[in-house]
Amino acid sequence: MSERPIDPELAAAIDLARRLSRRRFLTRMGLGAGAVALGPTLLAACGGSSGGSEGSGGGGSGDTELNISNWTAYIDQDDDGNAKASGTTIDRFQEATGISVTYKEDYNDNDEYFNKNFSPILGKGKTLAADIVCPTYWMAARIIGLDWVEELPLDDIPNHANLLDSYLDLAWDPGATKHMPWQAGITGIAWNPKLTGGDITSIEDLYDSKLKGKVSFLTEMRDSVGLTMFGMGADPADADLDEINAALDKIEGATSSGQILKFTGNEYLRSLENGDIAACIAWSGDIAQLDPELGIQFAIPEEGGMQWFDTMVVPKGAPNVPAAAKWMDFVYDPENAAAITEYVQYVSPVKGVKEALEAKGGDAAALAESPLLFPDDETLSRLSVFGELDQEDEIDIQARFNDITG
Amino acid sequence: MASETSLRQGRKAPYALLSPGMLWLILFFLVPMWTLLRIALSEKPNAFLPDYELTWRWANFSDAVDRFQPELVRSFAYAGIATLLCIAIGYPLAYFLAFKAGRWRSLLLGLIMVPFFTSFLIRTIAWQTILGQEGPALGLLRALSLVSVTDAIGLTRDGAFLNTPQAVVGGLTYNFVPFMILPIYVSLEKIDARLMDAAQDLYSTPAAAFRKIVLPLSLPGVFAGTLLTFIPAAGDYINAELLGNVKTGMIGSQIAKLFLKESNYPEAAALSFIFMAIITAGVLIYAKLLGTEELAA
Repeated sequence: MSERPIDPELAAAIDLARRLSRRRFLTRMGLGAGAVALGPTLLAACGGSSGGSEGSGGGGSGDTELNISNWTAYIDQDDDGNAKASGTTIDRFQEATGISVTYKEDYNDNDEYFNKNFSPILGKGKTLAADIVCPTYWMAARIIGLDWVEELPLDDIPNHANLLDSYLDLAWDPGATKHMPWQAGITGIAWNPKLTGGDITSIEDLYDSKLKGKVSFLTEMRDSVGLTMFGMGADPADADLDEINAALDKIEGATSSGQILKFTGNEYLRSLENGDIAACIAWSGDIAQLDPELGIQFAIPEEGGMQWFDTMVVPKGAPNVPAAAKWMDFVYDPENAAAITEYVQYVSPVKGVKEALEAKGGDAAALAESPLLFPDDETLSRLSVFGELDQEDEIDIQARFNDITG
Repeated sequence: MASETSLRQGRKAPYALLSPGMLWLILFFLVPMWTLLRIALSEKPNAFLPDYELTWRWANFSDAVDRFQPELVRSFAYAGIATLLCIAIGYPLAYFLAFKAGRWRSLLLGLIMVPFFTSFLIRTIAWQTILGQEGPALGLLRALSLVSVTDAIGLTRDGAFLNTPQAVVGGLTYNFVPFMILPIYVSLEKIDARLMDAAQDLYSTPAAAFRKIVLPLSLPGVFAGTLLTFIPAAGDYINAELLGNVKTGMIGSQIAKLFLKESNYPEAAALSFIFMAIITAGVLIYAKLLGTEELAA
């Protein structure tokens, strides 16, 4: 999912803003209204990350408890932001299995989680407090490569069969035996038609001098570089080093000329709403949550768009592997997956969600028609997942990108 | 007899009283400093693994300076300008509070503090709204058709306040100005008002009285205010991140990026050290120049 600013307080404030925009959206959809419990949200978001403890090596066999660390606002909640309220997915899971779930929204940023938790804890052979964490695909690939995750007990996850076929032939986890996707999304371009004076359909439009100083890119390297590569006729799925560096050259040029105003995480939503930027690289789910009256448009550029997904992985030595398997099985049931999709509005990796939403009728059925939630084959053919990078290359590219983003 | 015993005990009492503070300093300053210095002289054989080896790699320091020189210069330049602005705004205000405000003094002091009961971050985000394209600041300028004027004098850039270096310096000034006002106010407030009457009796003009009496006596306040403003402002990166653009990055965000994005602990630690060393040197020189002996000593 989306990148968060580094500062925890800043991250908390932006989560808060996101929650508010979601509230606005829900109210508009007639799905819910009422007071927003800001205090607990902010406090929870300010809470520390999960600590580590001495591990015994190898997964445990607990099946009465389950600890999940996920991104914020990434599962269905009630109007007060309570993810365990009656009728929510977590509540129904607890009812069905008798497993007590501790659900933390403390996964704010891939690199940050890696450098605060994965590397210093798993890298020292200790175990995380979480049984399931939700890194983005490239981070999942990294920690799978480092052998810091448990093999999934697929026999206990019959609903693994509901995983969309496209996720089964990933080079870093063939057959998806070490991860299961949580939600997916699309990176494209968003624009404010009042300021651009027309539609932005091409990545090259972002580099058009008409929009000089009115464009923002994302601090997520794979999104900004990937889209630029598409604009230059390359496919980011190949992750060719020369093409990546050519894209970095182009971004660097646009930065020093003042074409690109700034690089942001989720803050781009505010800038877009306030009219301080006219067009930007954006995440599909974010724009789906904006107030339609603002008129902000989102499109997958004609050259192509980036596809990304967040995963569920079981960190090495996690104490409750059987409980984690039950959870994965539960959320891969199309009915349960549809309940999550209905709330978070990202692309579901589970087969049968569209049908389940249609069967629900009303607002849910309307979502089933959304091209951003259920991209058709033509759209899917224009999307690429950023290819895998060698460790050394990844560090060099990230360092160069960091220098460009200032 | 009794008094002699208590005197002898009294010799040890200061150390006993100091020990919580000393323990605090050792645990939370010296130990982290030592760890940081070790990391700054280490190498990480594998960026993704947590282990580092102490190899006395001094090149970490030169690498960090080479790579982040613009951000270092920028941090000190922005902080310096913001500090000067804080003095320009804070001194007259503190003077007014100390000598002219009369019975309004407590109320006015309270008003200066009230905005700072909210979070630093929320205040800065609020400036995004105030300075934004749809915000009241630009709205007023547009209504008065003054945008071309402010563009010309460099207050705005292409008709925008937000995402400019000016906005970053403005944000720093706003966020740190109370730390300038309060120390200056305290030092001014201690001045005996009869000293100025005496100066007048000796045929001094008010300007000369200010220059020769009030200003020298208030310098410790200016000095303290400068430290309280300049040091945190130089290390701040929230203002640069929220109000600036891609060319206004300050040193704090670079250190965070090195730690959290590139897993390059040694260079991040080295950069932190360089930053602290420059600030320490700067403070010592400043203390010498301003002649506040008790601080310079």
